[in-house]
Amino acid sequence: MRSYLAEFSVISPRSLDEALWALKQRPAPAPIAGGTDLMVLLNAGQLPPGAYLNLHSIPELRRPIEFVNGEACFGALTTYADARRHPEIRKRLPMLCLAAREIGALQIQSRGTWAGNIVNASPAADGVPALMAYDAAVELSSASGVRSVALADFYSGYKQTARRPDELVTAIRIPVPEKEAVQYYRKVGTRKFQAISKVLLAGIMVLGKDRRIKKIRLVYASVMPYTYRARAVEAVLEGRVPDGAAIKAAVAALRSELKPIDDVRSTAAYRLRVACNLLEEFLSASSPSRGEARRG
Amino acid sequence: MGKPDKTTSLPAWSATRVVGRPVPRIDARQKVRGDAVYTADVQLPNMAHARFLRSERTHAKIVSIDTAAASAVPGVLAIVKPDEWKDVLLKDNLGRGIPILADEPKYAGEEIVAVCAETEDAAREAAAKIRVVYDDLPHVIDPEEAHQAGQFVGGGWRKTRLGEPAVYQRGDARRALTSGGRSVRIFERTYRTAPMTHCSIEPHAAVASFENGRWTVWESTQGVFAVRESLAEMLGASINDIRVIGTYPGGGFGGKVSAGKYTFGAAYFSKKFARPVRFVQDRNEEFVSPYGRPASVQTLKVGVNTAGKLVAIEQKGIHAIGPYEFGAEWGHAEDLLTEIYECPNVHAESIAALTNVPPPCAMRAPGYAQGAFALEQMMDEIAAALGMDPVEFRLKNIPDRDPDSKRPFASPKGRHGLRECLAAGAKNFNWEKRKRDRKTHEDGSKTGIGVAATIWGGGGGPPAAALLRVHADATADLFTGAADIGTGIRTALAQIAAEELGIAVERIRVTNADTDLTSYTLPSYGSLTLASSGPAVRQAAHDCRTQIISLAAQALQTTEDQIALVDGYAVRAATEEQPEWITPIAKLISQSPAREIVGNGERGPNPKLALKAYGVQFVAVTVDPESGEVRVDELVAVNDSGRVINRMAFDSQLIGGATMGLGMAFLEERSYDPASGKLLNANLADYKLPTIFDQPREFKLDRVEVPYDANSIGAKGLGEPPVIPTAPAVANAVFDAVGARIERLPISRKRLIDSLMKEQAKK
Ligand SMILES: Cc1cc2nc3c(=O)[nH]c(=O)nc-3n(C[C@H](O)[C@H](O)[C@H](O)COP(=O)(O)OP(=O)(O)OC[C@H]3O[C@@H](n4cnc5c(N)ncnc54)[C@H](O)[C@@H]3O)c2cc1C
Repeated sequence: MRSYLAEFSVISPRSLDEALWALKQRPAPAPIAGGTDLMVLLNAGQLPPGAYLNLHSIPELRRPIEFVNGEACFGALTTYADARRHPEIRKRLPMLCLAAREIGALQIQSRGTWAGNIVNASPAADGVPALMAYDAAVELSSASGVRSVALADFYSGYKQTARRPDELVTAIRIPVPEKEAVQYYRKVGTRKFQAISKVLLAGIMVLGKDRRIKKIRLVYASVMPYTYRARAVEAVLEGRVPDGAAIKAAVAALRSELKPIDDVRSTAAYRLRVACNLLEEFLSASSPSRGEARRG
Repeated sequence: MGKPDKTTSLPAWSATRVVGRPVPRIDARQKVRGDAVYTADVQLPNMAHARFLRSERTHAKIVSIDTAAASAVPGVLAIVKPDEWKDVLLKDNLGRGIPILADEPKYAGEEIVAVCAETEDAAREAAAKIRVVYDDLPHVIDPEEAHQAGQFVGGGWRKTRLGEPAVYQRGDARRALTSGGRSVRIFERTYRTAPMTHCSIEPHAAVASFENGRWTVWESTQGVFAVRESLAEMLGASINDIRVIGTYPGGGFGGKVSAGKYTFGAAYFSKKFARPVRFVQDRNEEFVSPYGRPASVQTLKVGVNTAGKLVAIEQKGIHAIGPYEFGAEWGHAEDLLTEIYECPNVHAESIAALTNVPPPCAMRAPGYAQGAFALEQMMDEIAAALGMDPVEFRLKNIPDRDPDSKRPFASPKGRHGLRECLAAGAKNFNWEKRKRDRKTHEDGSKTGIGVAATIWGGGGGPPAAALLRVHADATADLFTGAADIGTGIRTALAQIAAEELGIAVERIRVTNADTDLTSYTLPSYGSLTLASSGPAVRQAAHDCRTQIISLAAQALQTTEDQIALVDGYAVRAATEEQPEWITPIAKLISQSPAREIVGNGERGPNPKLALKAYGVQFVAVTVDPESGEVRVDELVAVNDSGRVINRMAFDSQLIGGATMGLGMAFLEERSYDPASGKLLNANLADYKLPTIFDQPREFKLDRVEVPYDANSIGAKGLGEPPVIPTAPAVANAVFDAVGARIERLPISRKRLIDSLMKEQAKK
């Protein structure tokens, strides 16, 4: 049942300092960015009553996407639509656009933020895997200072994050990958679009002149209790040529590394099988465009 | 052909000007602009708000209901517990009743308390503050388990005792299957379909007001007269104490045929507090009340001879029909197999299993959609085993009279709608060529094609009546009892009137679905509305036409057979002696003694013929065997609904029906947790409907208009047929692509991967 509105209040700070100061209160008010996760809870009567912090009134947080020192920099309020519209993002970080177009429909894409996707910490988030595969870092600000955490180290369990309640995500920094990197992003959902994923793989692979794997990132959503980087499989693959034997070894490693979840949307057995199939598909992709070509 | 009745005594139209054209809906503008008023939009001064508290338990005795905290919520007007309404029953089609409020709820979500308050928020808050103590009782969700325990009655339209199935029989199927020897090959398989919900875009809703001893009820409904009858019985009132106004309903699909518990709630509180009361369900309530398509488990055993003719069909269908016998009429799926193909021996058992889930109600093509999933896949399987083309196999088994009633069809000799649909569909789809296309592709994907057919009644019939008033400026008011549940029936009826009157569609205003202003008409269900109300409207319009022509004949000094009505004018064509003579219809009416022309029409009975509508769908799919994803590349739908009145509405029905069929095929399932008996996905995020992206890349829509003269407009039903063949056609195409039979709906990614693994293990 819907929540009772009188039990909620909203703080609209006029500056970042004011916001960080407000976050020192106990319990700390929860930030609202696009509200596309929070409002669902409100409507379902599951949003805890109390104070919320409106981020839209803070001028410092409303800045456009910038490129600095080979990194793209998103602000706290950067939306999926912002990323999809940005020509440099489209060219240099194409998985972000693929991810953005998978998220909700236009309304959600125009409203929902990358930072909200990160902090909401859903194991099925579609934006996080692409960011993680690109080695993105999260900038966390509080009244006591600013720190940066690698997104790959941000999660430690179901809805467990490195963020303290008094911290705001104030930026996301995404290094632009090597030009020759092979990129792969594929979401398997219940239906085309507007569906939470059952299995998602975001992958990036850089091959040397000798065709050996110089660098590889494999990030899965919806398989483990949080967005998961399959480091053991990456280690198996690094330094090898992605041939049949390497693929076999990688799939075997994935089978032992993943402990898939069972839930309403699917079963562990299905997830494991499809996770392996996607890995195989990615590794046998010969051209960088293949991941994109697969999108229906 | 049989003896024509009163409505068929009008000759069939030869050439038409308005009928058959693609006419945009007369209310399209209103709907698109948001001006159309739906029941949930009705706002009246001083209106109160009501809602139900629903059981949190699947089956329990209620020990106590504590309303102290709820009553203290400001604005609460009333809190009603089960005993206050214990004598009030909501009844199904066969008169079986269920309580409005249950003191022993038998499914999670059953109504247990009703609350009325000044505001919607206060009603919500009060409902949330009611404390109920339950004493849990055992429950059964699985219909097969209930069947084994003997907890079932017969499904379908005949009541049976507990433990007795409903049986349909012709010939002797058992003997034919056992004594056929080598010349009869036998095929057997069990198919399962999922429980589904209508998901109308507007939830169930009623607004009631009580003034001067009389109720006015605005309801989102398929049938105002059915609501009036059912509500009068629940209130213990005369039907004339109630006026039901059907607003625009935001969809119905069989779920809004009659009054609901909420209708009674709104009417009861409106009298009690002498003020209007609004009762609108939330989306999550739509998944438990009222109900939807029941889950089915169908076992088919079919015998076929070496010549490819069906010899016998044995069917056993088990359907989850909820804890009461209420609604057991919807727990059956054998109709389609008794009538679509020629087969001398049929034995079908319908078992309506008593389960702790919401009772079912009609949902678009009830029974047929489930039945087709089984039979039309079985036809495919048999054809393959016999080495026959599935289209040819179906053609071979087309009957030359109705196999059930043995009546001749209401179509010219030698013509059969299904035969013509199959031929047209195969041609449109390029079936012969595509059969030979490669199935496995470089990227690992596999493609396949499939076909499935359907039959449906949809002949319509009485009671349906219409009244037409043509005014002195040649505008007209058409009054009809029929509800327009989104099919565009208001437009089609206006077209029929315009055709007869020789005036433009835009000059006809349609007032419909109001028990005070329009005459008694059946609800808009069973795809019967056009074939029921259409002939009544034509007769009313013809009645006016005759009067106008008679005025014209006097004014133009000629005989009536010389007059035509065209584009708002009465015209006497030029002859050798006289030039053309023309006068506005408006002028004729304004100078007539009554200053308006009134016509009446009433639908007469049908001739004693088999009245059937047909359809086929051909689909092409691409399956990704790595992920279980299936894409529908093309869908060809061809239907025979007799004369097409509005080509645009015809296409819309086919697209809408097939899209809903794709939901049934791939996505829709109410999932229950067997341990708690609770519904896990009572919302549109977890119960997924197809979106525009799940539609085929290409739709090809076509019609075969086999002449049909069982009524004066030559049309039969189209609302339900397009949903029926989609799921089996898709399943057949998936089989063609990957070689795995689809025994259970929906075809989720996971189920497909599972059955692929099973197939691999077999090899
Ligand atoms: C119809 C619909 C479809 C959707 N489809 C998808 C989909 O396909 N894929 C997908 O991944 N998601 C989907 N979502 C979920 C949601 O849109 C995304 O997770 C979105 O990125 C959330 O961003 P937001 O700004 O709206 O977050 P909000 O709802 O505002 O906040 C989410 C959480 O993040 C916190 N937060 C927000 N900003 C900050 C910040 N700067 N610092 C600290 N904490 C912060 C909030 O306190 C809250 O806990 C869907 C949602 C809806 C309603």
